[in-house]
Amino acid sequence: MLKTIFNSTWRNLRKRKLQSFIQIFSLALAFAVCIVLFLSAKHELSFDNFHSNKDRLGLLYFSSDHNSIQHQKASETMPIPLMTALKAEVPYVEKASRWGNGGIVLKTADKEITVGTRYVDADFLTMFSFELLQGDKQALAELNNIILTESTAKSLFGHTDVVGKQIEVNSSGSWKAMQVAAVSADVPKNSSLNFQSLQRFENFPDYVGKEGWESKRESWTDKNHTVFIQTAEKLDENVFAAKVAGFTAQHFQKEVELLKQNGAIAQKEGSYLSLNVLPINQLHLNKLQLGNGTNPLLPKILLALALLILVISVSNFINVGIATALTRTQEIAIKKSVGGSRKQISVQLWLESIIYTFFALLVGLFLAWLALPQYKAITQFPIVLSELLEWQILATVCLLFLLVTLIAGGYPAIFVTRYHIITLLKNKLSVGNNWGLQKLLPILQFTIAVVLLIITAAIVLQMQYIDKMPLGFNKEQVISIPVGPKINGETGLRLMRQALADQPNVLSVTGSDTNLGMGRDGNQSTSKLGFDYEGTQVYTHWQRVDFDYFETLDIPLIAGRNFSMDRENDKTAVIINEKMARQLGDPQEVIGKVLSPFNNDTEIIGVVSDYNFKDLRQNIEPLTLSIDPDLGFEIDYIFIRIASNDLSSSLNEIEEVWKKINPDYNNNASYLGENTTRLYKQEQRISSIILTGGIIAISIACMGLFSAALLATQKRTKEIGVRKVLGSSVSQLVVLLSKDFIRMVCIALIIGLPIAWYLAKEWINNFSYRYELSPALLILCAGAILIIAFLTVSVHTIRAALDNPVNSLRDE
Amino acid sequence: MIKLENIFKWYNVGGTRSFILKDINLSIEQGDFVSIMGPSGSGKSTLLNIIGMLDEPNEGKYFFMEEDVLALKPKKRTALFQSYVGYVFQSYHLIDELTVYENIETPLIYKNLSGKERKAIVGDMLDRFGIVGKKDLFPAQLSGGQQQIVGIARALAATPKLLLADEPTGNLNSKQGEEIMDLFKQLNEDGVTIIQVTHSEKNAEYGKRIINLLDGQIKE
Repeated sequence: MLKTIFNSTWRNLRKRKLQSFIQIFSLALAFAVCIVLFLSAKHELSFDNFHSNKDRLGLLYFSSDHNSIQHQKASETMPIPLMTALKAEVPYVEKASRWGNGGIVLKTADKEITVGTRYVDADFLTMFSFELLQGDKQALAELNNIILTESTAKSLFGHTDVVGKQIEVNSSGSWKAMQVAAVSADVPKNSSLNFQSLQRFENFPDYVGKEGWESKRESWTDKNHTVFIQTAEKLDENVFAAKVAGFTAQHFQKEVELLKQNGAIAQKEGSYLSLNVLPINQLHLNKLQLGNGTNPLLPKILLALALLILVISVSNFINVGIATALTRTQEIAIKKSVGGSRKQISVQLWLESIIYTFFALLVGLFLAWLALPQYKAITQFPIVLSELLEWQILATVCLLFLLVTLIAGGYPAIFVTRYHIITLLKNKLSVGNNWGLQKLLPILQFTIAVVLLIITAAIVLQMQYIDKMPLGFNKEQVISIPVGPKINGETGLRLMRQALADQPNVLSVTGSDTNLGMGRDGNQSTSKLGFDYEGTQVYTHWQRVDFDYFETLDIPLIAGRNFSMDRENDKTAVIINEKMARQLGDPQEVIGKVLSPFNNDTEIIGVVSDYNFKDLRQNIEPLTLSIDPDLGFEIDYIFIRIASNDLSSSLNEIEEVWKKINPDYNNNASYLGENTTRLYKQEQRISSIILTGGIIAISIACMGLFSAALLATQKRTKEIGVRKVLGSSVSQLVVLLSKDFIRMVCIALIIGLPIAWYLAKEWINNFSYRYELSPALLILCAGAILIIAFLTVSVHTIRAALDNPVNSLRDE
Repeated sequence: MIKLENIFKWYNVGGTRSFILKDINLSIEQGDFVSIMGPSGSGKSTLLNIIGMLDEPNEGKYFFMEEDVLALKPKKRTALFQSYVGYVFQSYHLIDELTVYENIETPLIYKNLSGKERKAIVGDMLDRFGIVGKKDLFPAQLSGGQQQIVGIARALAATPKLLLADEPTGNLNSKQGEEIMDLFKQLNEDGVTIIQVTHSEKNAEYGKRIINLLDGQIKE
């Protein structure tokens, strides 16, 4: 029996090559897409779940409701004394560790490397489950101990058997001897916390302080690191918030006052500023934009996309399956007449569809395997196919498999076998009319395709809009070089300025403590402070710049003057942006006014027009710019404006010059143009996934339409012949034959357009600067889909209409 | 073997009944060879279909092997006919995707015979009809007469007591037709009851008994 079924399936497949190909290929394509998207979503959802204490771990953050734009709602940076005080005063917090960012240079007798380091407290190793290959959890007991990851150890020593070795560490200009106390496994790819080396928080530059730059270890207002806690029992955000309310009120009294003065609104529970905890399982995906998180929508979008594509292709499979079953009525009738029971024949058809589906699954796996390297390169999801081999996934796949084959194979079988042999033999079954499912499925497919197409279009348009948005500065032809930890920023900038002074294609050179956009080093930082100004509290972002900053970036001054190298006093002066000026009063009148953000006074000498120093999801906030090197803000980036149109050769020349000044330079210079684009990498990832998904969805829907049209025109050959004999023209016939399909697509458009419009709007609302969606887009997309659908169908209709009626009428 | 009592078959066309069979009474004994004749539209095929239970009458009684067929449950009815009746069609109705061998094997598969038994029976049939050399060919590769022979072989594979043939030679030339009719005669002599519908006087003569139908009624 099985052998016969295999045989006849194979022969059927060959007989209906085109339909079989469409049926199998579209399903295989969908399987491939689903596998890849599912694994991506799985990866996103698996973040930070490898910690054995994951129910008790969390990240602290402040939240405040503020109707002015000056204050972010949630902020995770903490002042240095908070952790120890919290642990001492709030028993609910069992363990805690600060987490500070930094970059260091490691040196042995024969090698030197630059790595990132994280400054943590001794509790860190017992809170989190990072595997130690060498050494034990006491590794951070000593202040001058350092933990290296496997790859750091390997690149420094060539092996991992290094516990107890002494190395030289340079964190902010000076060398210090440290001992390797442990070697940890490399951080898992699904960890939000990333490090290449770990050391005690007491070595954190802001904690240590240095000459001319005070330690901030006692300051409750300087916030520069994050804090993770572990609770004694299962972490409950509300319990925590209640238990620390008094703590916050006591230690942040002044800040609360400031918030009230500035018109902050009390939060739900009545406080103006509250300390909260974000459970670690939300660290990667949270709406608060805490941590380096991803939009929590991402895994949902991935899964939804996978599901939609699967729905489209399964409905396609079913539809083609039903249509072919209808053309096989003769065969079924014969089988019935030689004694096949309904059950026997249905099982046979079902087995056939199982064979098809299984084949599609194999092809799908192969396609996924083929596409994976490319996909990983674009989306950076570290996924492997072997992750599919989990029993839950396998069980789901089997269930889905059964369901698809039952509907695609079993349903038409049961339907067709119900008829009398005579009805079947005389081919009296009509396609369509009473076949609800056959019309419903293409409508469903096209509705989904329409929605995906429009959302894709909206995403692409919004990304383009942001890319072309005037940022307030000229990002073209500016190179940004990160200074790196080995060399002092002031010296680096001075040497660079001298070296480039006689280069004709260099227009200007300047420096800053923050990059614009996101450079290749991936760093982004914010310095924000609040202080008293004429009796009211003002907030501002603070940026360290250097001479020629505004020239280099083409930022126009709207009042006052620029920093000048000739005036000694300018060192302590500031320039503010328009937003800041408005906060202080009239932009024209603030010149000459004195601010005292730190202990000493600074005079406002100029106002520049607003520019987007943050990404376009945020509005422009008040900003104060200073060139004073003694305030603790160091030059970390050098910006160079070049004249040449040959950007890459200029970049090479400049890199050569910089390499002479800083031999450690590791080729991470970038163009500002790229940097601003890099800020939207996540959106671009999502949009490229949705774009590909949308295209695949539409292709599969079209494949379905294609085979449905093929079958329908085959069924109507006789009618076409008769109509032609009666004098119908080819175009009349094409219209007649396409009408049904176009009607289905129109219904799909009517259902799909409003849904698409709503979803696209929702997504664009994530941005502060929004592309204005116009109904023209809908009309355009609808038109495109109609044309695609019409062309797909007309391949068959035109051929059928051109056919000689003698051929189609002969077999009567 | 077969007993039809007051069989009526009609279609409703625009509110009025259009009769295809009117009050048919007929009995056929085992071992008989009956030819049903009549002009187009006289109801011959419908009568044959009702005898073969491919179609149901609107009124009347039908006894097959002493069983009241119309009172049987569908499952039982199928089982009854599966074991006693074989069909031969005018347009052969072979399954295009199956080879000659597989076509003959199909009814045996549905009877749940083992592979060994099927092999024996199919081999026997191929031998008996002289088509051993064609067993791996597909229907499209055979002439009409050869296809009909395969059709008959298939009908007989399940060793039916009754063979129903609807214009078995309708699509064949006269020589092929003669061959088929000789085959039928042979089968009848071997004990198979045959009922055939035919247009041709000559073919009808092969039968032991001729029933003439006109406008749905038997003309004696």
